[in-house]
Amino acid sequence: MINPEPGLAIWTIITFLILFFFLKKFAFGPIQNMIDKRRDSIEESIKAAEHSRLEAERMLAEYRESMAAAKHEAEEIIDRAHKVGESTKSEIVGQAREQAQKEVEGARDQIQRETRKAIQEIKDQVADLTILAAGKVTGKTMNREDHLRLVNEALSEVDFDQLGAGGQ
Amino acid sequence: MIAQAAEAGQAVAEAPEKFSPTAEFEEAVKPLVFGGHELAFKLGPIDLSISKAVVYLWIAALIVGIFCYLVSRGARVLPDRKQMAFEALYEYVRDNLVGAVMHGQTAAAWFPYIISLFLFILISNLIGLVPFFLGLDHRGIPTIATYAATSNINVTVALAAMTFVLTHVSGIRANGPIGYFKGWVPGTAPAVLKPVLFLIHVVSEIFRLVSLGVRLFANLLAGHIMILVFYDLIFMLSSVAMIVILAPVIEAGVFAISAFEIFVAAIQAYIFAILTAVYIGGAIKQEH
Repeated sequence: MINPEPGLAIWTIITFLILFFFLKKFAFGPIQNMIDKRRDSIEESIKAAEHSRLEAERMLAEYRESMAAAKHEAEEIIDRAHKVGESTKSEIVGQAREQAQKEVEGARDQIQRETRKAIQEIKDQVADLTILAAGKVTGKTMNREDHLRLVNEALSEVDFDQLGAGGQ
Repeated sequence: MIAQAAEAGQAVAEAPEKFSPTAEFEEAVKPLVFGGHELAFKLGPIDLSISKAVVYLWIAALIVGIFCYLVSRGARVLPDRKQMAFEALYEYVRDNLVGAVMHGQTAAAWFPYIISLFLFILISNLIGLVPFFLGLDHRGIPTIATYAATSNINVTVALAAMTFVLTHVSGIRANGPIGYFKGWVPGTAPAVLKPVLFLIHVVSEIFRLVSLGVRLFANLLAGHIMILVFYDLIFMLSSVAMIVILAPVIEAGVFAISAFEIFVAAIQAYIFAILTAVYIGGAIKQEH
């Protein structure tokens, strides 16, 4: 156990050196390569992930920008539509008001015309009746032209406009 | 304590055979008998016989070699559990053991040697805790024994001697022979003291070799002797009642020491490897 055994010492060195060269050639080389390869692939993955992240961020920024632009545009469109609507509305209302005004005026003219016509008719009938009545009362006949002149003189003193005004 | 146990063992007259825990270790360096032939070889004055100690060295080397080869051959970029475990050990030795004392190219160059040393010593220590079936003895009784090659001083000193030689060879290669030996003496020391300091350094270098070898050997031997002493107690149990009462106690003691020995096996392999790294690293990059 503690006696010198050079043979055992030599066996130890031989055994260990064979193991060492075997491990160095067949085990540690491939393992180190594998570890290096893994480190490289992890490094690459990290780089790729970083690249993807930047790309995603860039796309997100772009998307946000275009969203903002679209929103702005939509607001503008709505605004413009509002304005167009407003102007169209006021135009239509104006037109309608004008139209109504015209209608009202037309109706007023018609009424006036009808009124005048009716008054003329009344005047004529009054004149005729008056001539007839006067002929019957006096028993003599004036010629029609004289009569009409007399009647019209009388009628001109009657204010028919009050009739028209009352009719309105 | 060992002596007491041995005496106690001798005192039991009923014991069928005298049991001595240290006998196991003396047997271990005798040539093995295989198929009726003694495996004794001599190369000049050197006895190169195949003893149990040599077989244990081979077993340790085979386990380390085959395991590492299988792991490296099946190595994938996405590792399985076996590979992960081995890589954890590999990277631990590379970064924490070698990387703690060496850097860059030096670390890369010496890492394979140091991890080989670490694994070889670790497995040698650990298989010492596994009871191996050694065959039948002359009475036909199965012989089961535990033995660790690293509990023989010739093995540990041989490993320490390799470290010793490599330390100085790498020191000379890195600094040149003059520069290296000059570095053994502080440059600021008075000229008269320099030879004395040099001599002191030579002695310290030799004791590094001795301490490196003896530390590993003594720890492993002590652990094994402790386990065997506990087993030795069984031979002192002469009655069934004593066996019933004391066997569990003895077994518990063996279990506790074996568990502690696993820790010792790992820590001693670690110490041997890190001291090798420290010595070699120190020789390459001398502090003046």
